[in-house]
Amino acid sequence: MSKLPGGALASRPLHFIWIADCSGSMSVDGKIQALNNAIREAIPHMQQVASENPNAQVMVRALAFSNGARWHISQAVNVQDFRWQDLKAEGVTDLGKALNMLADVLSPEAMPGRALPPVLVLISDGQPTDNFDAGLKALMESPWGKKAVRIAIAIGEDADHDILQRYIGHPEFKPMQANNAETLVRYIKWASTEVLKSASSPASQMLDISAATVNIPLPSVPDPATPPDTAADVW
Amino acid sequence: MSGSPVTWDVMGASVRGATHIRTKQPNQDAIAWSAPAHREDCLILAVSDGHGAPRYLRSHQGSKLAVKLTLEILKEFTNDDNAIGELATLPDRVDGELPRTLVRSWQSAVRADLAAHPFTPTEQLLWSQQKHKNGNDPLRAYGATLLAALITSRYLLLLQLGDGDILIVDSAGRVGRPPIPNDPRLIANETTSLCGETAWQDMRVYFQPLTARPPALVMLATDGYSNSFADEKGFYAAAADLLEAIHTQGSHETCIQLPGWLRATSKAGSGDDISVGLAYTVHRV
Repeated sequence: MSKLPGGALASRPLHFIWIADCSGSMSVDGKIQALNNAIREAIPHMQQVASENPNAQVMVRALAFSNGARWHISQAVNVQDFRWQDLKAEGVTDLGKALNMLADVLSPEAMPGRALPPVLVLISDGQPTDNFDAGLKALMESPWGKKAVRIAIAIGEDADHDILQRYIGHPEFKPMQANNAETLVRYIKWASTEVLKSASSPASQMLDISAATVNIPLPSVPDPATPPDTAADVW
Repeated sequence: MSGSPVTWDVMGASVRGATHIRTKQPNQDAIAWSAPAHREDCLILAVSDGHGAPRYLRSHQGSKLAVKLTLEILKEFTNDDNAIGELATLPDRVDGELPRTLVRSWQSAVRADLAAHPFTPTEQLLWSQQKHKNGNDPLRAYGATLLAALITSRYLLLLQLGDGDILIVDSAGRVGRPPIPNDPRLIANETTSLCGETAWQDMRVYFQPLTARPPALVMLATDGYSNSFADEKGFYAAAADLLEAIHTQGSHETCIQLPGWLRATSKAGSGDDISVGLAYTVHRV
């Protein structure tokens, strides 16, 4: 036999999705630009991690929410081709709509059974203005949404930790609080490298429906950056 | 196996995955079989996939125990069957007693292994860091799946607990899955397991009396194999190609080539360990 048995081979897809709050409050004190910079800065690190595991094909998308929700990057793009276009902030905080849209792309029909657990990174500075409960319900009823690695980064003191905790859905893992741009960079980089690396492994584990579980070993969360010298740099 | 010109043969291989080679982890899969030496003998084939997450720190031993015990228990099962000689009662029996026996025996064997070989200080440290995530029962450190086939002259019995795949190629070369119910929970690296408290309830069983036209091939594979193919069609083609290789290159040559094929498949595919067992019919004159 000159070729290997079977059809075309392929590494396993790993979907990584940014879910970014683009409400008007994100324009205050440069938060939206700090988020744009942090994601852009993380890209080469993310690409490096992905290249170290050729058995996972990291595909990136981005979802923005403010007045409703829309796909900022609608077609999943290979991380090696991933480029970040700046988000702009304006409007309210329709997180529920964003979670509904996530549920749509995490359905069994839209995801191959051989995929690795998706990684969903939610970044928000406020409180939902629409039906968050309905959105969360839809997400958690989608098989891949329920099994996704759900990370939340709270920006500034007005972020609703209770909401973000419900989205995470695991008592041991808390939203990460970013009160300045440097800390945001640190958390974004952690999510896009350390979490990505852990999610890229084919390591299996026992299904346990009786307890909230995270189906990858989550790496330790980095410490926040040292507070800046001036109060003006704190959110 | 008597009364028919058809007899069965078996081969298989288990290889360490590309990811495990990179991360210096052992092959956590295991495979074992009992080949029929006489026509009266049955064929038993088992593969097992030890869970790879860090908390399953002895899963490579759990998978070895699983395939070893499965061979012993299924051999005993066929002896009972011969004594009873009532084929019609088999479907009822396999759906209850056998899964319980397999699970309980594995769990007893694991507890005996733990008593004889307690965690080393390094393992104890790792376990203490992980145990809050899966309860305090160290049994779970050995967590593994199980796929098994028992083939006699009269019937085919398939058992599946957890992820992995069973494919059947019929005498016309058509590939399909046995009608084992799909378990939609088995995605995103989560699986049912021998280490579950009521694991036998998750065991899926398929029983089929064998007629004059038995399958040409029964393939058992851990999920590292199917996860390496871009789609289901490509995976089905693997079963057909392996049977073709047996027919055209001969079983000896195919057996020699199989580990290399699986290593290359893991490297270009899932990166996971891969174990494949092949039971195939041989037509004797």
